Amino acid sequence: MKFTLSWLNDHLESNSSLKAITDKLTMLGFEVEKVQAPSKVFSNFFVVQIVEAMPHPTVDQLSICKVDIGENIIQVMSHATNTHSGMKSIFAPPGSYAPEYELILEQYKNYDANNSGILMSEGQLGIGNNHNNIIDLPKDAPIGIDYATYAGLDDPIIEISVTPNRGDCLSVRGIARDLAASGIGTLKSIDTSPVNGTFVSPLRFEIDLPAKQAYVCPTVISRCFRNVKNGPAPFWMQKRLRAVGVSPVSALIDITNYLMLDLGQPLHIYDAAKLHGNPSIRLAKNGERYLGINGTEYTLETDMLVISDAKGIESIAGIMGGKRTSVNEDTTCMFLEAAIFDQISIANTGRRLGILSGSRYRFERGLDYTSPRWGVEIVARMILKICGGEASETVVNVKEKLCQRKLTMKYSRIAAISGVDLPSDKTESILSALGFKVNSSSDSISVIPPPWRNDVIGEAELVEDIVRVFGYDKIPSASMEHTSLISQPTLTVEQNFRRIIKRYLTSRGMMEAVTFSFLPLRHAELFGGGTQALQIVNPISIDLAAMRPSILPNLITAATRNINVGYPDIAMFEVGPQYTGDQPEDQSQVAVGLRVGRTGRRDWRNFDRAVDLFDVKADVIALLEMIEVSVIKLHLSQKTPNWYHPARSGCFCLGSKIIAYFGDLHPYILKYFDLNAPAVAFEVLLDNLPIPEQKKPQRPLLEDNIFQSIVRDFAFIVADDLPADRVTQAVVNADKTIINSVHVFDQYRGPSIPKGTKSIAVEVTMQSLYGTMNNDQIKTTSAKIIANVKKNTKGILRN
Amino acid sequence: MFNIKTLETELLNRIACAEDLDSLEKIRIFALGKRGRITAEMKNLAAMNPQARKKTGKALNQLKCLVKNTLLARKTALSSVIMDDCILANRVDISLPVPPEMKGRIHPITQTTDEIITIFAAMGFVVVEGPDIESDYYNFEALNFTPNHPARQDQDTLYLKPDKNGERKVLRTHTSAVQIRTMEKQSPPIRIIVPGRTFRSDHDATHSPMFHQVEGLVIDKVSHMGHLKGCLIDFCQAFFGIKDLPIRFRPSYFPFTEPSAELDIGCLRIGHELKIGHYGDWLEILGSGMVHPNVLRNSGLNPSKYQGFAFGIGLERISMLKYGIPDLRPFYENNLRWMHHYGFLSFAQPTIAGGV
Repeated sequence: MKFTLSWLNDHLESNSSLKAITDKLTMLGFEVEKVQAPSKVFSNFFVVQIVEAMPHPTVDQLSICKVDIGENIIQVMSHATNTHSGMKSIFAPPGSYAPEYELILEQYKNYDANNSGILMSEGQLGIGNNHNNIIDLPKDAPIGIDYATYAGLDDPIIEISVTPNRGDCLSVRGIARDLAASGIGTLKSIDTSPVNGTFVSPLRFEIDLPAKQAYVCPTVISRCFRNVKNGPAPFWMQKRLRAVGVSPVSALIDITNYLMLDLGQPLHIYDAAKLHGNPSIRLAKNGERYLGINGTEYTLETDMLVISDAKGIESIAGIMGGKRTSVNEDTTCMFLEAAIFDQISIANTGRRLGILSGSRYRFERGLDYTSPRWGVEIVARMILKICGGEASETVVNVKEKLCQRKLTMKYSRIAAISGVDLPSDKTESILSALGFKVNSSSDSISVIPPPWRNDVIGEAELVEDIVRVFGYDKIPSASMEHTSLISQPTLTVEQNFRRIIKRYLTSRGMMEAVTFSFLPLRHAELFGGGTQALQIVNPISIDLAAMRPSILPNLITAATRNINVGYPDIAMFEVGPQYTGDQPEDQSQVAVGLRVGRTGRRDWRNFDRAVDLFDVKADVIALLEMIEVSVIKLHLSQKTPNWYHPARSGCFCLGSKIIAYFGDLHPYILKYFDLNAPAVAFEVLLDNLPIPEQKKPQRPLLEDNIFQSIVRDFAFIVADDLPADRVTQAVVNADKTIINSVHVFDQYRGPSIPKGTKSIAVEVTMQSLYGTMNNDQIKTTSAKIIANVKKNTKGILRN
Repeated sequence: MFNIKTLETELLNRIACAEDLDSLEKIRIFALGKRGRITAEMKNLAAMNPQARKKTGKALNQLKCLVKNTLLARKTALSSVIMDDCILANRVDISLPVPPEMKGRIHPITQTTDEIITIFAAMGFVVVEGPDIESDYYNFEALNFTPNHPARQDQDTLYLKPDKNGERKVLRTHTSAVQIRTMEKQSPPIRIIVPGRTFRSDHDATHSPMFHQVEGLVIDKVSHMGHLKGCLIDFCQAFFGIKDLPIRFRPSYFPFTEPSAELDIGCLRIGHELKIGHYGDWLEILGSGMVHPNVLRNSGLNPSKYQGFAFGIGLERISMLKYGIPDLRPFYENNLRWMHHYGFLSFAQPTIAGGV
């Protein structure tokens, strides 16, 4: 919403400075977007009169003008073709700064030794496109005053944003009312007294709506005007309209635009001579066409509210007028519509047709439902004054009943909600100034909101108005009361685990990524997703069209982007959501890591190497240990989703629940993503982890074993496809009381052992609870180990 | 006649001159070996008369002892020199690089979230989460958005394809949806914060289709606008680490709060640079307000009994402000150089004790 300071002062009796007004607007809830005071820009340029203009004796198309600049008469050169004696124009003294060109004017130096300044065109001044002719001002322009003052450009322009609940403040008067309530001046009264009609209107609206739809048009009042002269609007009105970005057209149109901005009442006018019979208010027929005032043709749908006559649709109610019945300079007879249309109906129609207009904007946010009643009087008074002619009696088709919505509230509620104990008289004066009818008793207040405040529904809105006008800055701030909640952890166990995992993976040298929750549909399909339920109807781009079924594709995309800019080695992770459906329980938290390329830069001791699946297996185990999952209880399988390499990936499970996947990415995936480097990944399904038991902080007592432990190595020849962990399990199970740990330290395949076998070497640590083990005991235990490995894996001791 | 003194001088001299353990061993054999000089002289004693034998025998024994000790001392000295040389021969170039390691960093979004959680933890809040894919009811309707509210339009909100009942799921446009979910389940007093992903149909220099918010909700019987102000002033001062940070509450409008306020902090804009502090200019950082009675009612709470406030913080924005990150877009591009530069060390976990 834009307006000028002088316009505001038409409604507001105030001595406040511009700064005080804009500060107050901010604190009333109207964000000040821009304050533009252009007077400084134009203050160098003056109104002058050409006393005499004659052609230059030697230079073509140059004239020499004697110019009255107020103090004296000087000689000025001009290239303009329209210079003539007696004309008034704008003069720039030498060295003036022309904002449009961002330069200092010294144009005629070559011809004019005195460099006495120039006469300005609209183009040079930056107020129009005419560069050939100098500005031709009306005869009454006073010589010597600066152009800014003359053109009213000294009037600061204020632009504010109005929140959607305050449709009443999409008018200069509404803003003035709020300012007045807050103590910036007093609201001036306006004359809404009836303008008596001198004839009976030959036209009236017909309302042609099904009973069920009657509510979309609760009020229609109209009036006819005859013998009007539709010339240009008065200069002051044009100036204000221009200042707020509305181009003046003709008096009748400018008046309706002006009143909409001034009072918030959208009005519509028809050239009565162009109407074929009484206009009717009805719903459009499907496919009906209409030519808008903007020259665009629209195709309408059944439930759109329109106004039409015998020749068809001439306007979309409350949104835009039509070309056919629009007024122009020849209009002498005019038909005026002042109506209320349903907010939702207007919003839907406007949105579907894609038409933005000041009228739609105001209807959508809700009008003062009484505005057509006084609107037709104010506009009539202004038309008669500016355009002459006569006004008819008003025609009232329908008129909404006056609604006396009464709200009652205890004074104590204001303090309870706002934290400010306001004196009751202050509360009353604020509400009265905002237009509320106030009735108060000792402990409560009862109000009737003004008709323009359809946003005030209950106690909350009343309190808002009171404290907003009183000032949010005057609410004393109070720190939160301490509660005993502090003993309760802020994070749940699961949230805390996610925190730990992120910090831990980072400390393992992995970069934390945050990628979008969506991805290209093809990526979703490659990773087990892409179902209809998880596709976005209106994606920002085709690359963001589906919800991610896995974080991995987004990490791979990020990795390839980095590789392409010269970072070949990637270690990256993300902890976040993935989606398998559109229900809350279909969203799960996953920790996903991706390693690509080598383990680090090339090393002089060759410590660097290509990443492999044991890097990510280590990530998974370490991560799980970090969040107190007992890895020993997990079992390992080779069932992995099809984005992993079928022979080089694995899966940790706990019972039937999948805890984690890890391994090489499938070569097809690498190919699809154009990834030409080793790439391994893991996905830990955090929501599948067992919920940790609520443990007491105390630990069980340490059962210390003081006897010396003994380490022995064994190598077993087993079938080539036997998992090594079968050997270690067989070793442990040989004698759990004595065998502390088993660790595979070598795997061998080669000529020295039979084909189809491999050798698995383990290091076994033994320790007895009853004493240091002697040779016999070691021998017995070794025999048990060898026997159990043979029994369980058919493995034999390698000699 | 054999001069014992001459022998002593000779032997001691040779020992002192020995340069390595081998020559020292040769001297030992020369002096004390089976055919050594001292051994030979000892053998000669038998032929002497008792008086001379006694005298010479004593002198020889003393010499033998002296030579043995001197040899040992010299051996120890020589060994340690050799050891030292051995050790020094293992010299390495310590300027060579250490084994390669990848370097990880915590994303600014995580760090900022952790900071916010830490501050609100001190005020007794707990962290609650909700689904990213929401129903229209939780995202709009229950939050008092009218059916024709512009925020519901396709150009502002991302929708999923309609299900078989024709219902379109919403990618939640704010974390406020979790307000309702929480109030439905938990009875007051409630003090929660809700960090999470949010989505809007916007993609340009200052908007990302996915971004993060932290919602706050306080519901009890007493919390009023003064508490709202106090809580958020305390938060801002702690978060930015500026004790006298200028803060302004300005009336605004949200469908789910009434009265509503936006919070501005003091700043200065010079070109692209933004400074925080007492400079006279203001920058909006969050929206807040008293929970609208309709929202309480929709959640099954009686607005004449319960009240409270809510707020929503845009994470990216305050992260950018605090850490001087100029551009929003790289937050989700995951460019390693950016992550290195703007990311945080893993152990830089914000704590009340260590500071946020």
